[in-house]
Amino acid sequence: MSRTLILLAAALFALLSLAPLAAMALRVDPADFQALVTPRTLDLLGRTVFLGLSVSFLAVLVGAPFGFLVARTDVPGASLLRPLGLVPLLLPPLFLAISWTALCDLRGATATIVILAANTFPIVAFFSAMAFERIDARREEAAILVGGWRAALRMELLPVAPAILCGGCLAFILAINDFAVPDYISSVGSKFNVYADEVFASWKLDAQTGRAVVTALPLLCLTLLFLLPALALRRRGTLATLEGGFVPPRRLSLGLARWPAFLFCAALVTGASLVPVGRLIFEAGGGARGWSQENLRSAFDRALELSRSDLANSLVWSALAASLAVPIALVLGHLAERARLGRALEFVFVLPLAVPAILLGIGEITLWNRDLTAELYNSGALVVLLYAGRFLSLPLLLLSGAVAAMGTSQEESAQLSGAGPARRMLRIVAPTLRPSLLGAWAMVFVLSMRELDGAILVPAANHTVIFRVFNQIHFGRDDFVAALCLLIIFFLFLPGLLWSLLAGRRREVMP
Amino acid sequence: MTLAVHFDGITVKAHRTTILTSINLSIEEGEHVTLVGPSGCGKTTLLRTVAGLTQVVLGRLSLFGKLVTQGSKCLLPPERRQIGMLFQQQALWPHMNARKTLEFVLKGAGVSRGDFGARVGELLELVELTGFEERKPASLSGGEAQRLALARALAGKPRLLLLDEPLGPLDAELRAALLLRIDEIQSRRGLTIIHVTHDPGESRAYATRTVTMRNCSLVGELP
Repeated sequence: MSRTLILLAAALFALLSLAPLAAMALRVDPADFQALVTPRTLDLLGRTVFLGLSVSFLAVLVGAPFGFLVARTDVPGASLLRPLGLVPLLLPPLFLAISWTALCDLRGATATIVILAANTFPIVAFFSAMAFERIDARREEAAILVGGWRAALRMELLPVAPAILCGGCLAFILAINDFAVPDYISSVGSKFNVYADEVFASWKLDAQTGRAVVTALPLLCLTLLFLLPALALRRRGTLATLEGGFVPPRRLSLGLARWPAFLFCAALVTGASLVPVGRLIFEAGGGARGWSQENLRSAFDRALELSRSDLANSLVWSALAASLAVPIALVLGHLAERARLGRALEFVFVLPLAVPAILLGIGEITLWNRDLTAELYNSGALVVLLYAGRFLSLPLLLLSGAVAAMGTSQEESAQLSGAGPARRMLRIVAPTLRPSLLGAWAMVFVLSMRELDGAILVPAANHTVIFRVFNQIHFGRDDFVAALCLLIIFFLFLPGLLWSLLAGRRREVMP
Repeated sequence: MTLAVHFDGITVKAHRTTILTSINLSIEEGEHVTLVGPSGCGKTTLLRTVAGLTQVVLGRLSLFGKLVTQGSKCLLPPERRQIGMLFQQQALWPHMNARKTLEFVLKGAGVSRGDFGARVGELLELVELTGFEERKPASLSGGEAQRLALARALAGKPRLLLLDEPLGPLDAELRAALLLRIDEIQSRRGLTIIHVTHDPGESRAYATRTVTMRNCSLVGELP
């Protein structure tokens, strides 16, 4: 790999993801540690662990069977249910909270757990589906000859279990770091404060960076505790390179059980995505006051009129963040996979994921709020830097997985054909990984569009559409908020739709 | 005659496991050496060492009189060793058609853009793939794909051709035809060839020497 490219990508990674963390760490005073262990923080920490474990348990409980059913069985409508199963992950969890708390009397801890599980089960489902699909048909047939499908499933559990557990770990991490859902749930019913609230409060109330950093340390350790096993499990579970002679496994016939299986999958997709979207459409059209198309149209008109610039900001900044993050992720993801110390580097590359989003936001403020950089600090450029820094690790992991699935011989043959490192990257690696690159771009774009936790403190991010939703939900303008949510959902689906049209179905698309 | 390849005590290890133990071997320019031995004895690693794709722990490797590897130091990167290689699984680039594949190599070899058309035509004719310019690897049969891989390996005018069991997936008739083609090209261009195979009979008719390997070492030559 070209040294210049690596150095450039590493420098940008350090600037986007590590510099804000370093800037915060420098502000920590030994006295700040006094606030670390108090009955209140311990209580919040215990509640957060409970939340994370409950969410990941639920996500695995429904996500793993869903992944298996849509990937490996003849459940009716599998090809439609599979992409629909990803929809809840695209929806901002705040939207699920708004819809479900309006629909039923779901409040407190239960509401937070159910909503975050509904939001994160697609990760487990996706990882499981990928792992089940990567089992060579001949290995499966050998197990069937020994002891039928039961033996085959037993054999498959070994390579698939790491993928499922990895998904569970990621669900845990997303749940414990979420700030918006517990905050919203607490605003409509009994309070359910979690640790992310405490980090936010310790900075917002005291404006003490050092104290906020120290307060966030237990959350950081907790995230690392689940992130590192998730990384190791990911390698064992879903990253096996498909051999040249790979024979895809055949679909399992469920017989009469296919209909109950269909009901399970359809209920999951309906509850986690169609009902919330339906509720938003109902609310935007007037809701309980009387639904009409005219109301719906006027709600959209108003939402567009009042939030046009916020929407444009979100779209442009998210697109820029994705375009900045993906090339860096490609170079560093390739390095993580091919370099001798790549595995060790991967742990550095995922560090930004372990940091609570709110803390990264504080870090950006600490780093850039200076006279010299005042112009950047007050502009959308800071939001782009924040989004790219926050989500860089995800495309990096995705692309390192895609590089692993690609194998080495194509690059080696290009190298022997006289191609230097930069040319190999540009002409062989990037075009081969085109579907993964598009997927990575769409991923960063979608996550940036729905990002609230990290951006809530950054002044320029107050002019994003998701921030406007967060602000407006407390003012009872339900039709306006619902129409705005639907507009965001439309733009969240757009790259996914384009990706599915442009990328085609490729096994190496995602790790 | 000049030595094309000279191994001097080459040792390769991976994860503390020895893969090649103190290899000493000299191959003269224009020779066609077949390397045979059971699976896992280190044949492919030896080939990859010549190409510079595997890191050496000990020893020295020279190509055409030039020291290219000394201990763990790679003194000449793979892309500058003037080597063509045929891989087991062809390793064709799925997003490039035959013409673009060959142009990619020609550009790397410093051929001017104006000469691309003629050179691509020559190469495709050499491997009997004229008319296949716009075909991508996915639309080629096993034999056609392997011939395109051969054209790619020859496009950069290499002095040394490495064959890593490239005929495995082909049927007997295609294997014989491709071996004959490689032999003709070797005679015409004066290439040096190292051919790895697990089947000693495969290229016996064309090989000048057959070297055997076992347990990560060279054990001798077949008569």
